[in-house]
Amino acid sequence: MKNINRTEFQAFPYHLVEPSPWPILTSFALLTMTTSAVMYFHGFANGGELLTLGFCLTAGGMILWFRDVITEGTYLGDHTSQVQKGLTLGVALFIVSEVFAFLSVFWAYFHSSLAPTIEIGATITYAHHALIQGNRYGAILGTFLTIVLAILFTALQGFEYIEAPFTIADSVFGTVFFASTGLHGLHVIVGTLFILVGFFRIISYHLTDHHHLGFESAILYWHFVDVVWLFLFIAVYWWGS
Amino acid sequence: MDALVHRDNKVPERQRAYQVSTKPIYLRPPRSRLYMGTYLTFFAVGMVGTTTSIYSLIKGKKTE
Repeated sequence: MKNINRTEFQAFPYHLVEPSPWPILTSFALLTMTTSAVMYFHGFANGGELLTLGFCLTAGGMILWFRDVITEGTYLGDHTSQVQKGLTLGVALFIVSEVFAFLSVFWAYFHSSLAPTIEIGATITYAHHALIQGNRYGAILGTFLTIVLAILFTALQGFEYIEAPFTIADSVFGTVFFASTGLHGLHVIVGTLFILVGFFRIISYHLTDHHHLGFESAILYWHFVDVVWLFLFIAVYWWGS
Repeated sequence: MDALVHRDNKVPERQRAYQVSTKPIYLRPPRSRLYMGTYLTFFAVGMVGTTTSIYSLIKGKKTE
């Protein structure tokens, strides 16, 4: 290869990202959300409206940012094997940090001291194996069923909250019950959205049998949320009842 | 389900289109300018709101 040609190729497997507006815009969207949350909780004027705007800006920033990451991975080929290793490590570390977030809620519960249960880990595992084996139909079906069951879970949790005879302000149990199941419920909603993105990417041919890091991360996250639910179920619903 | 399984695969043509483009990545997907413009408009409202919020939080005024 001549030197003049060599300069047209990247000599390393890493992804040097281009300048992006999303880190700074998302940071300020988070500032809007947290400031307005304080306003709302303390009864300041327009706190609720600004909180809604802050939430929409944060969610919008995330959607447009992730869209760019999908562009880089699927259309520009920036996610080499080396980059995939780094991303996988990042996802694993993120889930470890989530484990500790839930650990603190469990700590509060055990220190101080009703039930929808669905086996949704099975359908996503079926989808994952189908994807690896090149079975497009199975991957789509398994992911679709997972999303349906996930929505059912959130709906049942919603009914339970409406029907509960106590509130977040009733006793330590009420506080920790809604804090822990609410935190878990938020994670179920995020996990559902995560899998929904994977679903749309499967039907759009973005994912292959050997390159589907985003979907695999969603599955890992989903299993984490599933395991947290097992602990929550044993501690709060079974032992706590 | 069949319509989803046997959908057209547009990834190769999109890869060609995205790789030819010299625009920044955040302006490369379709309708990016519209999304960016809408986002920045709401973002500006949010920043004005946040600035006045912080002022009223410091002053402790619950109504404007």
